[in-house]
Amino acid sequence: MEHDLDRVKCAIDGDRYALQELLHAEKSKLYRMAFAYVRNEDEAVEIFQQTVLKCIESIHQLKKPEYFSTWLTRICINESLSVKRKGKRLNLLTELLKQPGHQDFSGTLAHGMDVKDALEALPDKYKTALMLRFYQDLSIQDIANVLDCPIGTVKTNIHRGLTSLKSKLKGVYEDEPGKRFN
Amino acid sequence: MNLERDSIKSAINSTPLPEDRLNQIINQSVFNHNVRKTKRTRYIKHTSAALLFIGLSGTLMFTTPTGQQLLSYLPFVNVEYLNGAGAGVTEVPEEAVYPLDETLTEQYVDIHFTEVSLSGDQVDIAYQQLVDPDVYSETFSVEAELFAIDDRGNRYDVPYNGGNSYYYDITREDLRWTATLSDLNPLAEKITFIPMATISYITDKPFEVFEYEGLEVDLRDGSVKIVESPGLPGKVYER
Repeated sequence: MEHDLDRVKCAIDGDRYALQELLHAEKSKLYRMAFAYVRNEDEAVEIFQQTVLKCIESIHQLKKPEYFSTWLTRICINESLSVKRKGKRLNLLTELLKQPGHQDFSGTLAHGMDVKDALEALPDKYKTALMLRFYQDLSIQDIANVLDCPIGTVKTNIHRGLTSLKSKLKGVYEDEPGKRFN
Repeated sequence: MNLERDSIKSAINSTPLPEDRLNQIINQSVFNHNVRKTKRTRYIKHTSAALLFIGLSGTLMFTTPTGQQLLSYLPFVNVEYLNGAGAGVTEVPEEAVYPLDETLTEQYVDIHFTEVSLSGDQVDIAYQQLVDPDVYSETFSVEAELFAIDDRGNRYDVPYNGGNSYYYDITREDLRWTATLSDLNPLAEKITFIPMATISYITDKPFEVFEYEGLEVDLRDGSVKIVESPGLPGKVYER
């Protein structure tokens, strides 16, 4: 998302109204990314809140206003992964139900799995790469900057993520002409 | 490619937005949250080093068209030690805990740093080794360990204290370690951790060593950056 650079500069200089406008513009993307990691409204809201607080605390350190959006995204991803790592939420039953071999628990699960379910079930590193590339529309180079990793790693994770996503969706869309996920 | 983009976008956008809660967070936080600024100054205990610098200082006098000029100098002293209350002061806190969230990637073992803490001349670091589940095999074990070098060129061993795994880790080898660096040079302000991972096989296959980029931690504020590896000590290949 591109912002008015002057507004970002004002926010960096301490203009809280400018910062408020910027955060309102980013809120839906940040919340939905957080939700994709934790799949729980309360925790996604908590991640969003922590992201907002960290933004307020450290925006004066942001050196390049044009990277405000990617900088904020990075904070949100780090917060999301941190919440997951701390084991605040262990929805093991959901995980079990979504694993291959456990689909008999729910006869309709395989057919009910859509792109959202499949994306949320991906390992975090693939999910992150796909969300940054196809949801945030970042370039490979920008993703490498956000994640602090080599471009090759980003490409690998996108490729593996898409392969895994397609594999999870196999049999859902393939059978329906016009809905093939390619 | 467009279908992928559209499918993923519409999938994520289908998550309902709790707009009121998000608006409330933004509006309350932006105007009520005070920015915390807590940084303590640590005075170097090794006064002998400061005295040495002072002893080496002096004054040069030379003539220019506008008259005689005096130039004070402190040879061999890093400028940053002249700031603040005077020579021999560093802004590295005596004690601090910095959360980290940085991952170094190499082949199929990632090393994820989670926390670094200072306590006097001791630095503790917590990290996790993450094995790519796609290549994970029951026939090998992974051991990620660290070495370090400070911004003054002093090298350190960083022996680990122990490792744990949890039932929700993806592979058996996704171990979490804590490791400790001792006798940190009191003038050091940055420390670069140099990770390596050793993969040992249960079979007769020889072990493999993977080298990573370095993780530089600024001990003054906990900021980090990934840097080119200063190189592992040669001894690691002789074990």
